[in-house]
Amino acid sequence: MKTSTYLLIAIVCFAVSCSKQKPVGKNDTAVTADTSGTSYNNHGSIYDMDMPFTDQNGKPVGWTSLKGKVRIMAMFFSHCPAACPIITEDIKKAEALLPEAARDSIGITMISFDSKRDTSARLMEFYRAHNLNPRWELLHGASDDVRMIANLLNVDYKEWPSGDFTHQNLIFVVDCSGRIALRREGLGKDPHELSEKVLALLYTSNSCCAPTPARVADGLSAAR
Amino acid sequence: MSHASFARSVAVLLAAAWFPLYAGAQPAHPPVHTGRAPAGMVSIPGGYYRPFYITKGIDSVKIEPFFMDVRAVTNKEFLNFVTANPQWSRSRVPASLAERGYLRQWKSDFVIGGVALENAPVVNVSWFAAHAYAAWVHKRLPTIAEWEYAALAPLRWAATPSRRSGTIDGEAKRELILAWYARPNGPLAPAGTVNENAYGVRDLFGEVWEWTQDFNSVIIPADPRGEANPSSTCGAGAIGTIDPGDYATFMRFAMRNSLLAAYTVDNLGFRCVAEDRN
Repeated sequence: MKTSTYLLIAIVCFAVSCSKQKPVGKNDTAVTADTSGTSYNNHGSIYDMDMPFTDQNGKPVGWTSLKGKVRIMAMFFSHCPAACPIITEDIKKAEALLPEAARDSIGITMISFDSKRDTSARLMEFYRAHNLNPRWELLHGASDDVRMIANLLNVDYKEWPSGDFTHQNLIFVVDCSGRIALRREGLGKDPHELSEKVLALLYTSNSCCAPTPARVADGLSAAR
Repeated sequence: MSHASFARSVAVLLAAAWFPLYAGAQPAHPPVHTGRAPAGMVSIPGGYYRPFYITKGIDSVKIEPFFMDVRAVTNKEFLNFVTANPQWSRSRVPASLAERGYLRQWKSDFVIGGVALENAPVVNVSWFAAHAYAAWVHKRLPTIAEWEYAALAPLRWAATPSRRSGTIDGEAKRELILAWYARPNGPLAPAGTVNENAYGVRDLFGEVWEWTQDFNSVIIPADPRGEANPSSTCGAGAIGTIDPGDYATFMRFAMRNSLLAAYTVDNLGFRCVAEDRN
């Protein structure tokens, strides 16, 4: 009897852990606007911490320097056999759906889990192999800083002794101020979901991406 | 109810129960052999830990020797950190780094409000805050493997009028831990007074749950009901648990799995570890 009670508790607990995988749940903390608290700063941004990274060109990139652009983001590692190439292709498809002006105003940021093997040179190989463009920044950094990013984005991952990683497959659309506007889990899903969220942020946002007349015109023609 | 608050309330419900295992009986701790460990810490010898969740071909994880805090970090200690780093005070911490409820047991930003509370383990701290505290004291949070490895040691059973001191291990230890997990919330005992184990580490069970550095590395196999998207994780092999009967450990992993780094929970605190460089 006692054991079955524990089992029940464990099952409830397990159910919670499973339901966590639904995108909305993990997003709640980061994006829910709270207007009631006076003693609580509710401007949650993934740029609330700063960490040093390096891109595929060997150029240092401070995390908070990414602020100011709408970004599509994902975490990955270049030795990932299956999932990460698909994540990359998913983002490329969304990128291709954007009108040119929109495409030119966004950034695409991929952060590597693999602090040991993903050097700038290795990331440049990945960049070339996937035929990417300068809009894409592939970042690597110290493992503690990578963990910080994973926790800001709420990405579960585990490193194995082999050096490979098990990780959630997630693509994010982040607004200029660092708020997560979309957190999508899974592979090979409809790229329109990503491109439309980017367009919504570019053309209807009232944050730091306030629409300019040119953007509005572009957005209207894109919508037609 | 938002999902986050649901998850949290379930976590609170499950995590519940922070009466010390032996309520009322303050164990008369035998002198602790601290070796070369810094003040307030004990040496944990290196060894091998068999992970609870395993993947094919991985039997055990090597644990290097390390130092572990004897007890959980207290409110008073955390106040020192907040005073020196006011960006971590209640009214200034951003939502991305600590959700609503951060340090809510305190009276205000820099006032704890009560001597008993000062000496109790700090709770309602996010992973980000715990991580920042650890860095501030030049330590770090333990990995899951380190925490679980240290927690494998038998508990020391203090002498009472009716029984001699001794240790408690195996099934009896599991039962005790489960009984604690199942008990409803109560006031916290002063940190460092609950359930010392054979290494001299206290409070691992019977006080609060504790953050670990890599809490977000718990990836529980897909929902057997088929709800989870099979493409949602990129796996490095089949993952399974080695001992499905070990509910106590299972619950700790499920708890970790339910957490997000900004969460603040009424019975979730932390302690630090440091490298043993010799």
